[in-house]
Amino acid sequence: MNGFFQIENLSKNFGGIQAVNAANLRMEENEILGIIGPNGAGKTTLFNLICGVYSPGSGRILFKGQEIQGKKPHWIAKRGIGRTFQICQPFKDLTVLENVLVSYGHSFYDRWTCFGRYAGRPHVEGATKLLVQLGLEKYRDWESKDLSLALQRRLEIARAMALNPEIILLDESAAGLTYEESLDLIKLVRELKHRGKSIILIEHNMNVAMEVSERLYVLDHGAVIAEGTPEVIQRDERVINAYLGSE
Amino acid sequence: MIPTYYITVMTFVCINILLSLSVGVLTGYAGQISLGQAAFMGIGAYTAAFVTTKMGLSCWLGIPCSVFAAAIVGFGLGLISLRLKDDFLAIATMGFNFVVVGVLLYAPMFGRALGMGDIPMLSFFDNPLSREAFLGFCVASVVVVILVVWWLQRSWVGLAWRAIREVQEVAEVMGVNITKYKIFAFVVSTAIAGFSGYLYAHFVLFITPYDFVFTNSTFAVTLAVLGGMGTIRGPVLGAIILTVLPEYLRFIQDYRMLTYGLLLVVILLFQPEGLIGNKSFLWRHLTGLRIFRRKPVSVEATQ
Amino acid sequence: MESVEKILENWVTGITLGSIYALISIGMTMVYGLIKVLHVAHASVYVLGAFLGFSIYALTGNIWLAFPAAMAGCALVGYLIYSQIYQRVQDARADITFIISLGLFMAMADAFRLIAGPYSLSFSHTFSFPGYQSGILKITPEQLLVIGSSVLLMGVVWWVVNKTKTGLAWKASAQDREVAMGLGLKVNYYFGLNFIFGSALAGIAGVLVGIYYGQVNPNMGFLWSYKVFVVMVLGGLGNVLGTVVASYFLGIAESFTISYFGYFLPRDAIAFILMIIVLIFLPSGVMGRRQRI
Repeated sequence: MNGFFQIENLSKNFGGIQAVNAANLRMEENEILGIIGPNGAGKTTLFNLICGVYSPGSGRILFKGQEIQGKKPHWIAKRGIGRTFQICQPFKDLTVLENVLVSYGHSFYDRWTCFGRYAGRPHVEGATKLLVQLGLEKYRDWESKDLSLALQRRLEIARAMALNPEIILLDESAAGLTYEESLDLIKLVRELKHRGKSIILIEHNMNVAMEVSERLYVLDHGAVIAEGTPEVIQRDERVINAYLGSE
Repeated sequence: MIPTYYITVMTFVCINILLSLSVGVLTGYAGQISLGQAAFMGIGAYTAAFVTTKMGLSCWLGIPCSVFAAAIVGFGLGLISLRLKDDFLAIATMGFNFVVVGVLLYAPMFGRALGMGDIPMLSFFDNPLSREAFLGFCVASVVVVILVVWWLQRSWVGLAWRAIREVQEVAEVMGVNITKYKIFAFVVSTAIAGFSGYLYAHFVLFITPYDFVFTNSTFAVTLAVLGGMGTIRGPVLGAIILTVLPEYLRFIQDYRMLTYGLLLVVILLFQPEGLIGNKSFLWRHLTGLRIFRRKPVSVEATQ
Repeated sequence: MESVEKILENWVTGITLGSIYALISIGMTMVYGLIKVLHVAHASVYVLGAFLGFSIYALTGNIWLAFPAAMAGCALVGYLIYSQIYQRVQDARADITFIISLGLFMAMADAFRLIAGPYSLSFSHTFSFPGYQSGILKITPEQLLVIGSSVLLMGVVWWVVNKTKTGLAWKASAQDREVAMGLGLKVNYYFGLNFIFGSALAGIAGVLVGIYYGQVNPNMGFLWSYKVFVVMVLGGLGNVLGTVVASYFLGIAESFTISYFGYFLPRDAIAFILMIIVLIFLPSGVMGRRQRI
């Protein structure tokens, strides 16, 4: 079946530990998908597999009909998949603007255009527009390590957006945020959908996950144990057991 | 007429600036460590010597040959850097230095331990360049290389390198082809080092493998670290200081290893940005940038 | 065909060499296992031990005093290196820390040269105990001393690592430092102990080398530092047992190749090629600390 994005029977093993176990996932365009599950369930590994950091042991990932599993991260980034990281990793010694410019320039790196000035006016303007969309424009020239956590998370999203992606992967973007900040995040995710993006978010914060996801996948020990709308998932016995850790 | 002595010192300053910049490009920008730059200088120098003495070709042909030879080998080292990171890369480059010196010591066509001599001075249509003219050529070369490095660091290449230096896995996810850029950093850096070797060969006119031992690689790193990596002015200043100072303070010559070793330790411990690196104490006060936040760093950052 | 006597001789020499490599490398590999730093300066600590031992012997004429003197001096210096240097750069990149260690190594080596002169100083002592001789197997007193003390010391290492609370703390911190700290382990204290322990071992090794070769010289560190690297890489970084095994392997291999091939190959170059090849083809555990994202 060839849809927008699907994962078929994906598995990844790390020296004896089955991090992802025959996972299946399907996403339509412009959907907001949530991935939840207890710690160590393999959620971040799944993201790492999608964006090319790891190669799967078996299985496929299809994006718009094309197999992307095992490809190099920069190739996948250019195909239109951007992501944020569970632990914020801005380029610390670069300014906020430069952080965004790094991914903004993704189309220049592999051609002769790579010798052009990165701080050229059209690039700076384009990147600044992204910063405005995320409310970061007044921090443009700050060093990224000086930003607060909430702002760093937004910077990560800005960085992912600069790839002009179709799919954005958000890895626990609500972690460590206050209640108000997480409301802002929910608003932001909806805004992203409004702009035509498809979003997959990993969340530990149940409120955020249930509130903003249109559909949820639940992972435990690397396998998908449940799938459905938030209402269905909340009542699913397997999910409750997984979180309560009945072993 | 400037005394020969000053001309000699200034020529060495130029050569060391190039060596220092080669470290600056690789380590200061792309964040890849190399403790083997002296070996590339050696490759450049021996190529230059070989081209003129053994092949009898024009000394100017040595420029593309030296640069190319060093760059090719640098490409190989770049490939190795894809498998090794950080301190293991450091050891590998160190080992590489030993290997190159070993080859030079045992290869008969490079004169073994006796090295190669009778290297001709650069000449313009059979007229050997005077010392002043050669110095002029060196200065011009330094200017050209600085322009090239300046251009690179303000281009997407430079930004890609800095992203790799920061967190290379993240850079890759952001669209940077780290394989290509790491290798490119090695190629550019070793090409510069090779060129410095070419100038060295045509200046001292007699080279041995001992000129390019591992301790000289650490000297190259000290040059860049002292001034401040991640900038162009840093390696330049470092080269000037560490070439000129031993001349004024003669006694330092005897304590060189001790001085360089201590310099490395002290600087990297207490002021890793170097003397005039971007966030060093001196630089911030020299340029009056007390509070970075308010100043448009995006302009500063393209420096 | 070589005589059996010659072969036995090579084995003995090899085991002696291997013992020395092991004593030097254990300290460095333990440090790596704990703080993930390639403590190059360890080679200088070892040289310090040799010189300290030499000095005490020259002053007192008592060879047995040389050992505790070297142990104490090296333990102190090792601790200083940890507390004043490595503790300050805990979060720095590994290559920067390596360069710092390298700078320290070079500075110390040069300091030795300036203090003691660039030439070898004779360090010979005739022991009162005899060697061992049984038929064609011949072991000199020095070899006996080296092998005997190494075996003893490695027994001590084994005991400390496996049977004491300190060793347990080391193993825990090596596994996951943050978890260890979270569990209330005074990580810095135990790291410091490790440095003291490993450096003391290196100090003893220094004295033993001095006695065995009958001389000390400031360049001793250079010769052995790269071999320690090779041994560490072959044995698995941070793996004490592997390092010991690799030490003996290298010692015996070297002993036989020297005996049959002489010195005509540039040994350091060969050692490094070997090491680079091993590094490149090792599994990803060594392939650099991949940032976990």
